Amino acid sequence: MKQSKLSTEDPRLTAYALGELDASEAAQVEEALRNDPSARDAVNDIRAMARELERALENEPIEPRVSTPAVLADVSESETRGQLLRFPSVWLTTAAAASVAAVLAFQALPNQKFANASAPADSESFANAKSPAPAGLEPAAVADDAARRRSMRDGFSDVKPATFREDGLKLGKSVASAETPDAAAAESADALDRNSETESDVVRFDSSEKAIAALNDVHSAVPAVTLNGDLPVLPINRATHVPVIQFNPDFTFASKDFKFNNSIAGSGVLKMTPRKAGTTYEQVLTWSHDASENQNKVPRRDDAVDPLKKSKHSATGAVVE
Amino acid sequence: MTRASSYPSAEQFVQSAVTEYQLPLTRYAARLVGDPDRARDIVQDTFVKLLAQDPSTLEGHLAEWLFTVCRHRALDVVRKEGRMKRFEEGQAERVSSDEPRPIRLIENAEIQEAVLRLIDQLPRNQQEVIRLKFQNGFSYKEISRITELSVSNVGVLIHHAVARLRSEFAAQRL
Repeated sequence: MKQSKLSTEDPRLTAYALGELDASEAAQVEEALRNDPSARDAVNDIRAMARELERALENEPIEPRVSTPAVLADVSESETRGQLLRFPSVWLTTAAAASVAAVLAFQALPNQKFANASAPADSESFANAKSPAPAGLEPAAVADDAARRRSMRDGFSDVKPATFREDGLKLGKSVASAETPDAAAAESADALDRNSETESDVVRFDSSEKAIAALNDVHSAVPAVTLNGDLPVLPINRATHVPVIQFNPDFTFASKDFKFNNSIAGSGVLKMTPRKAGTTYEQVLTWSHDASENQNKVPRRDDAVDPLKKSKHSATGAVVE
Repeated sequence: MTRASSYPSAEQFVQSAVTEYQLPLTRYAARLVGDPDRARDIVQDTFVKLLAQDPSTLEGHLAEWLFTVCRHRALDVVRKEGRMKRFEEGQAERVSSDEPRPIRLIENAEIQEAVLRLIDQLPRNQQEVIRLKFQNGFSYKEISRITELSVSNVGVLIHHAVARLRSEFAAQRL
């Protein structure tokens, strides 16, 4: 240390008083203190304050005082800015269900077109038609993981699931829509967007009290899920039934357990089941054999296959192998 | 605060650490997240992580390791769950406007309470290093490793915090 006088604003003074300097630095400070009574007084005051701090903090209760903000609150605040629209998990589930329904509806659309395309009158229109674009899913808001956890903890017992329009599936402008009834909430979201454009980091709401109030009410609003699709390429003048359960499915990628169980049900062994997935007697035996080999010949496979063989024998007169 | 030494078994090592550090860790975590219950969970997670550690690797710096893990876990909790107490504007002013009584006339417990209130009014990063230093006895270097701040930054934070506390504490004694 070249200077002889040590400023009381110098952090080294505190470090010296608390014994944080190494030997050479401490020697330099002591040299400066020798001719500086005010600095010596400062060192004594720092040490006295340190003793008071140690005494006070030694018995500090675990429960933070009411006035104490969390030390890490800054972290959370900085990382949660711009995530003011938080939807509880119930809403996400509802939105997901609506999305699945819409996707199923659009998956069925090509089949419908093929059916109609076989008729000469529809062939031209089918040929001229654009390929339907996949349904565009645009959730109104996506809540992050933290928001979902918070909503699970806080509970949203008053949240009602989104309702679909009474006129059901409408291929065209909107397949399924559960619009937010609170137009003010949408307005506030617009305000959020506007503010976000002007202030990239900090989102502030100073435009109107109405917008702020609407944001507070957003938790009580029905979530908005808007699914946009192309305009219909074929005239739709009758109800379209979309089978949720497929018959004769391709189980190429299903697990062997699933294949086996489903094939047993589909083969007619389980007389009470109304579901009969497409398969063959040979497939059942093959899958059963594979499953048994892979699972160290689990006896329950044979238990299930035996009645199948008997059923086959009684129906066809074939000899049971 | 003593540091880790040799233990006959890992189980005894962890048991000893729990006995010695559970309270200071919980107190530290409670200030970080503002919630004693969550703080206890964080401390429990910290000791669970300790179970997976080889005691020999923590020789001499067990406390520093525990506070570092505890702090990281608290950060995770705050980030993932957003669990924190929002600082209400004007709250500090209301607290500081409490009628200051002459320090000579109040008991030691009240002096300590006054000091704690002064600490609560410090900026949050200063509060953390003050507690690590004067409550848990860590050196500047250890605080630097726990908080991932530079040693000089820790020194500046503590210097300014102590200077402010000295000033306000002296004002209350007038």
